[in-house]
Amino acid sequence: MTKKNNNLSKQQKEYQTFEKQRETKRPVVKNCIKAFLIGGSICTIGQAISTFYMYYFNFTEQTVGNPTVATLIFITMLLTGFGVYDHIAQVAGAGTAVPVTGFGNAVISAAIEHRTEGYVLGVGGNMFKLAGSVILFGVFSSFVIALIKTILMQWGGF
Amino acid sequence: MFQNKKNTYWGVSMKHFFIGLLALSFSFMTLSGCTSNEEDNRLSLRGPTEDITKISNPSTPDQSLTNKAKELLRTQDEVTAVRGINIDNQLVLAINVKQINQFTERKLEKKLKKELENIYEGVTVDVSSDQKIFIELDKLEKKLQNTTYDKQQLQKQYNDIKNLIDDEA
Repeated sequence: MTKKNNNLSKQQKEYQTFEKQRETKRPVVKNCIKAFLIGGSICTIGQAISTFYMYYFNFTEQTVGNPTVATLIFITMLLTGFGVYDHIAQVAGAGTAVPVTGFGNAVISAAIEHRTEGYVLGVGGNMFKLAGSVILFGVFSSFVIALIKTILMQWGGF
Repeated sequence: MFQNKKNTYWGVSMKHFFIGLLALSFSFMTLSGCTSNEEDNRLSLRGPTEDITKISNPSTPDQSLTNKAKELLRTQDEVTAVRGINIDNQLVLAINVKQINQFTERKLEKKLKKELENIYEGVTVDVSSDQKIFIELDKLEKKLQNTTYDKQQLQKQYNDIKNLIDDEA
């Protein structure tokens, strides 16, 4: 950073200080608290849904994750379609992006955006434009973890 | 501005209709999960750190083995609540552990199973920390306490719970 600053001209340095003085400071702590509270509320809703499925259907703690995720994504789909999720995301930031609802929102908002281009090339082709990277890295990291686990189980004697 | 009248239900827009429906179904889910309509007549020991129940209904198969096993599990610091049933020499128990011990509950399950098998030789012991098993055993305990159960009915219930424990999917 300092090396970079040394190469700057006097005018550039002046502009940087000018910019720093006028730049609105991000309320990091406030944002973190908001993200924590709203993200936590989403997780509490998720927990309530999984308890509901465990209580009334034959799902164990191991298997209840699948219907819970599906329900959360379905709710996100409706909220994104009606434009409510965007308002929540504006306040919560990472609190709405990190849970699985953020993934759902990324898929559905891309589908809505490209609806006018047709169902096949528009919706089908662009639906995973944003969420594609999540799937890619998710699959890749699970492959790496499975590989490490297999090696440890086979040769590590666990 | 150009709102289509077809998109309204009883004068409410489709958006508000669905959001209301969502909120209603969610509150139903939460409320139905929180209320219990079954009468609880079990002998129970409830405190801030433990929740142990005992079944004492002479018209159901003898549950003394379960009650003894529960007494043993009571001594474990990690265990906060125990539910269970037995039929002849088959015993199934579900435990709730302290929040901090959730990470090691599988190890605890195995340890308790081994200990109980050593104490009760010839008894098939199953210990589970799964919340679903706990819920099912809690419901079954209440039924056993309140109604008459024969061996066949109990065996069927035991098999159902055993299938849930063995379900790896």
